[in-house]
Amino acid sequence: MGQPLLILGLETSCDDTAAAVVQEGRTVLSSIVSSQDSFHLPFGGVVPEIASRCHLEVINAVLDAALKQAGVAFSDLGGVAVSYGPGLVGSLLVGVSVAKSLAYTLDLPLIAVNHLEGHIYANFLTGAAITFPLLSLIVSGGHTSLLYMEDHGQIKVLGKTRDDAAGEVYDKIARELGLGFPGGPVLDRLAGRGDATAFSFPRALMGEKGKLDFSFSGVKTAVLNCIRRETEKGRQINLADIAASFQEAVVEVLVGKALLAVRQKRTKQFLLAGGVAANSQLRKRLEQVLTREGVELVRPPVEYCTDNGAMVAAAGYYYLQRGRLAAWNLNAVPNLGFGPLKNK
Amino acid sequence: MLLLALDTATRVCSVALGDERTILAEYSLNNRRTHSQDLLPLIISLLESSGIHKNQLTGLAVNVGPGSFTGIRIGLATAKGFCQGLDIPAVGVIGLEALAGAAAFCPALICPVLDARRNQLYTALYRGGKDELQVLHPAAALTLPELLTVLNRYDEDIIFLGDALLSFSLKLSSALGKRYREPPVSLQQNRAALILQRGLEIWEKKGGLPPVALEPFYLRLPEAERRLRAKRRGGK
Ligand SMILES: [Zn+2]
Repeated sequence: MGQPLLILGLETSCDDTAAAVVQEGRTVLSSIVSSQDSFHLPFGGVVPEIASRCHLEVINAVLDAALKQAGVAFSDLGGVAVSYGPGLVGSLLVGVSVAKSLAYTLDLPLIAVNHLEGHIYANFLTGAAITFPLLSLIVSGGHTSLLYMEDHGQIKVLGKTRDDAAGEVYDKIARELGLGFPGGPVLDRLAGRGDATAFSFPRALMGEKGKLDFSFSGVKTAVLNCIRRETEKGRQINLADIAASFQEAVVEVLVGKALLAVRQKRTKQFLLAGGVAANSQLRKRLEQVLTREGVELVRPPVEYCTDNGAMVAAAGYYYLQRGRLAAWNLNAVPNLGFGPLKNK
Repeated sequence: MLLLALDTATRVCSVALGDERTILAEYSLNNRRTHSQDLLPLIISLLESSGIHKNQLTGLAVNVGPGSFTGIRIGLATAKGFCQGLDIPAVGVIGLEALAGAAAFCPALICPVLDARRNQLYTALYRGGKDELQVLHPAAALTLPELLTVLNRYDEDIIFLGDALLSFSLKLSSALGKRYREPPVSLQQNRAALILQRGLEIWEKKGGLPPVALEPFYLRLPEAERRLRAKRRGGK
């Protein structure tokens, strides 16, 4: 056996600048995430141009910190992995450009990772044994996708959102309720104190038999209208009740579709991924339902649910094992789907 | 002192390699593709065809702007990765100064103009003919009338360069008459050899910087921030 393989993972697809060093695709030696939340706060959402500027500003320092925390030098690395899509093009370009010139100057393989696949691979950092085939649900600010994975690199999209992502709706409603940005986690905590049956919000596409797509724009509009209606009537809005009722509607749909997928595919494991995977209610309810079906729920450690470099490095490790390397003309692909390496 | 120079701030994607006495190699593309695809392959073939190993580089010079925000960032992010990977310093070059360098030997006013969209130009005004360019108006984003107000303080000939000539040369020449001077097309465009030349001058005076200190020169706030500030000023 030679030296253990260390991969540097770079992540700049949205508003977090992140770098990490991961050993053999499993052991996190370091993970640095520089959050831009305070810069986007006055705008109530991520401003792409500001995100791109922030990434460029901190990227060298984040890289330095990741190496230092891992106690390694560039010369110890075995590859450079980077998220090249999907995401905000200006943000992606910073990470992709830095990763390319780093890999070239260090004579290392360049690995272009699908950001969503990265989220799935956060589950490989738990130490749990992962067995294929498996199902995975990615729920984040930008994405809601239900995937079937036959093996590394063999991914089939079973369903995805037709409009808003679940996390996006969380943030929008949190903003409307005056919970700040990003408000998802605050809303989750607030919901814990409310009555989930106080309001009845729509569960979209649940009626469509066997269909695994999602739609969250309906529940978003319903909640926003409800807040407005209550305010106009001059009623004191019970924030906790609204949060709980909204969360109930979203979680019920997510869990319902997950169950449908499990019954179709009968895998042994179900991997939860993405920022909303940290949501307490979703974790609990999914666990209950899956246990009844005899399916094991695997969830990433909370710190690797949101965007981070470690998940990119972990995915990159398996890409490298299969020899799926990127060329020096790699470009950012903002609307990247699953499939072979895209480079246009 | 061997420098690699990058310029991706405008439509042109350009790389050059050289020292104080010689431009060893220069590649430029003006193909409207995204620079992120072309830049690193261009650098690699530039080094290979000049027989220079990347470890021989003393440092790197990069156009930090003004220009396309995305273009500036592709150049800077590439430079930052390159310098951190090789552990070499870099210098940031203001593109307008570099561009004016093409005519710096002329005892005349030099006015580089880059297309800044939204009816503005990224521009500056220099006086050439001396050892060092004399700055008469610092880099700024100006409308055509604003620029003409600046230019009309002088009654000398003015040499114009830069990609905004594609859309502004007629307007400028009709406003300025015989004072309007335009060099041949080969001297009008951004190119990395000019970044190299200006980079060497800066290096000689101040030395290079670590990549973390390499800063973009956008000259403009993000649109969202501009609107927010205007709103706050409006007293809302
Ligand atoms: Zn993500």
